[in-house]
Amino acid sequence: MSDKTILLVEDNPDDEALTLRALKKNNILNPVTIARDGVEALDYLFCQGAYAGRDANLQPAVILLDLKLPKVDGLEVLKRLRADARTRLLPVVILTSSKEEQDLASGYSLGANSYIRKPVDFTQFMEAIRQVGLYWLMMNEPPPKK
Amino acid sequence: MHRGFNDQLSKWTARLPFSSLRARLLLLLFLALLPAYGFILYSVFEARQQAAEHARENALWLTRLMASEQKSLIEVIRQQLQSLAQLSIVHRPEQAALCSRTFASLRAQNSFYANLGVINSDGTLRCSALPFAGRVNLSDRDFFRETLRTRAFAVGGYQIDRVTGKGSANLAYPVLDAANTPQAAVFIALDLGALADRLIETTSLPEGSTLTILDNHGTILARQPDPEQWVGQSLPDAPLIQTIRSNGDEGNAEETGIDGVERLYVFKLFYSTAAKQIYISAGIPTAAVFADAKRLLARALLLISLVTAAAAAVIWVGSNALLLQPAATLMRAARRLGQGDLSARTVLAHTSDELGQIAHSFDGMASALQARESEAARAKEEIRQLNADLEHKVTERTAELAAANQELEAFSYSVSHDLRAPLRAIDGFSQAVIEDYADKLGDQGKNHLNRVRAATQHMGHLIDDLIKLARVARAEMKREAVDLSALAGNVLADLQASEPARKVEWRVEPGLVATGDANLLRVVLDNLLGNAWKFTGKLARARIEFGVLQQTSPGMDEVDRVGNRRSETSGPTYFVRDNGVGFDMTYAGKLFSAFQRLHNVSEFPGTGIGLATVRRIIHRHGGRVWAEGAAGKGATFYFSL
Repeated sequence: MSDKTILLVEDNPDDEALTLRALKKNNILNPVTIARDGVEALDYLFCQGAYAGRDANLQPAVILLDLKLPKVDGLEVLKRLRADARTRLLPVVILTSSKEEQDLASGYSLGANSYIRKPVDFTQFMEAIRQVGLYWLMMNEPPPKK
Repeated sequence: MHRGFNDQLSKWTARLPFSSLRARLLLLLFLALLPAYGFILYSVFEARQQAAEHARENALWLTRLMASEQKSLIEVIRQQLQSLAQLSIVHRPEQAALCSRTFASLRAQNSFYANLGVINSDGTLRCSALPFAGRVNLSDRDFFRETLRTRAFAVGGYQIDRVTGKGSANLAYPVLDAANTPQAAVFIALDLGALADRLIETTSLPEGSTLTILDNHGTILARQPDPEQWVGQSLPDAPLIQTIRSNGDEGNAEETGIDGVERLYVFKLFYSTAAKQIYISAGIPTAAVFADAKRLLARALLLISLVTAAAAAVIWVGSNALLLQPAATLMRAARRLGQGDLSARTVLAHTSDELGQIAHSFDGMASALQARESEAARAKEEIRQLNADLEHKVTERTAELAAANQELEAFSYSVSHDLRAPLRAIDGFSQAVIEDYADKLGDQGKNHLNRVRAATQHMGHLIDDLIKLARVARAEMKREAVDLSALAGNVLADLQASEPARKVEWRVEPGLVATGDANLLRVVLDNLLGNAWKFTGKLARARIEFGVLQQTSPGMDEVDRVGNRRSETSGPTYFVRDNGVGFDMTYAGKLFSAFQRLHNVSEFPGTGIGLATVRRIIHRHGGRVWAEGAAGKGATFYFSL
């Protein structure tokens, strides 16, 4: 189980720290890779740019994707993932501050597996992270590898 | 009636070729002159009547005169015969030759004595002014027998003489001997033709007149002129004879004479016996009688025809200058105006007569039309300009509005996303400090940090509600039938689920369906029922009710509260009622403004945006929302859509 990596795409260092804290507090000890903008996330996933040497077979078990990102935003990242055969089946959980309907709608229509709004209340945030970890890392059977 | 006549006249003139003004004027002229024609004809008729009357009287007087002359003549002859009867040459037969000679000389002196002589008592002619041969017996003659029988003067034999073939009358007187016995008769035969000749000479009958002596059998005894042709003829069927027979002694008639000439005949009886009546008749040619009247008529007709022709000529020429040309000018102008040339004018002098006034009115009308037309064109141009400006402005404003909307969208997005991130950090790290440094903080420190967390969470709610309010304002409205009862039931069920421990007695009136946006109405009920739930939170027996006002059911509304509730709302009024803490009506006006709260946050949490959101949604539906309540006695929120 510990080899199941989490890719956290988050540009806000506070949210990053809080997310990591929430994971730790919930005893989710899987390795977490952090991408601080959309370009970095895509480089990592497609093993390009700074991640050119990465093993493409080792894809994260779940991607926690913020929507509002510098350079390439979260929805665009999602679109490119779903457009590529290598990443098409990766579970993507949108984790965002926005509760705008259009974000929700486009997120799901682009193939997000889940949409979680980050609550202001940290207690609730912890609960949300706990459930994400529980479901996507423990209950969910990932798609078979090629 | 007058109108009817006019209509008739115009219909009539329209049918006949009298449609032009000139023709109508001429028609009027003839109509005006008709009485004159009538008067002339009447005058002529009158004159003719008078002429006829005059001629009749004249002729009658003449015939009377002639008749009386005839009678006087007979009297004269009687006296002459009486004298002759005393003569010895009459008494003595042996002096017959002398008698004949004497009588012949007597006859020569009197042109109308056809003969005179003596007849023996046996009827043989003894002596005669006209020579005779052998024995002539006159014993069968009426005058002879009469005079012998009566021994007195006798008249007879108005007849055609056997000897002369002429119309004659015989007058006889007895020749008496000493014993007073008639032994012979002396007689004079009158030549009626000569008599008539003399009569006609002494009177002044017009040319072509006739004088006829005839008996009641139609035998013509004498006639002037042309005695040879007519005397001795018997014409019992001639019209004049018929008239005489049916009229008696005296009369007149307009007849066609035996010679085919139309005459006015006057007749008078002057000798009558049981067997026959002798008439004298004068005939004056009708042509002569009426010649004057005819001449008068011809002259008058000529005169009035000349007058008519002259007047017609004047009208013909005058109407052209006075009527037809101005009318044609008016017509041309009207036609030009009709074809849309508004600059058309009559250019006639605006005199005070009818044509001038028509021209004046027409020009005025054309000017007014032209002015109005140009005014309309200007107004149209103005409207077009205004429309163009408006279009331009609308485009501009729409673009501005779209830009503003986009900005607002970006702003809300930014608010919902960016404002929450720091709050989350404050809350999260405060929690982290509480967890990680609990031992160093002490109770006071933990309390403070918990207050920081509560404040951030409240701000998080504020942001959410503000976003909701903004979204309500710009969300697209979809109008459909919404089951408010079902919606309210769902909201209350959700509230109950969120606080399962609470015991709330709630009632929803079934079957309330309204037209509106389902999502927005859900927000309304969320807020109103949520408030009711919240403000009854401290009660052991909370009661929440959703329904519709009975007064606003259509029938009741008409009867009870006409003009009151109606003027405020047009549809039904719904309400949400609770028995919670209520509010002071003094502050009712503040209820629906954003961020206005009537209760402490510590007592009842909330952002003060919910009712503002409700009001905005209700307003967007064109409805009204208001509240009634009292502190500690619950609140009722009403709304219409």
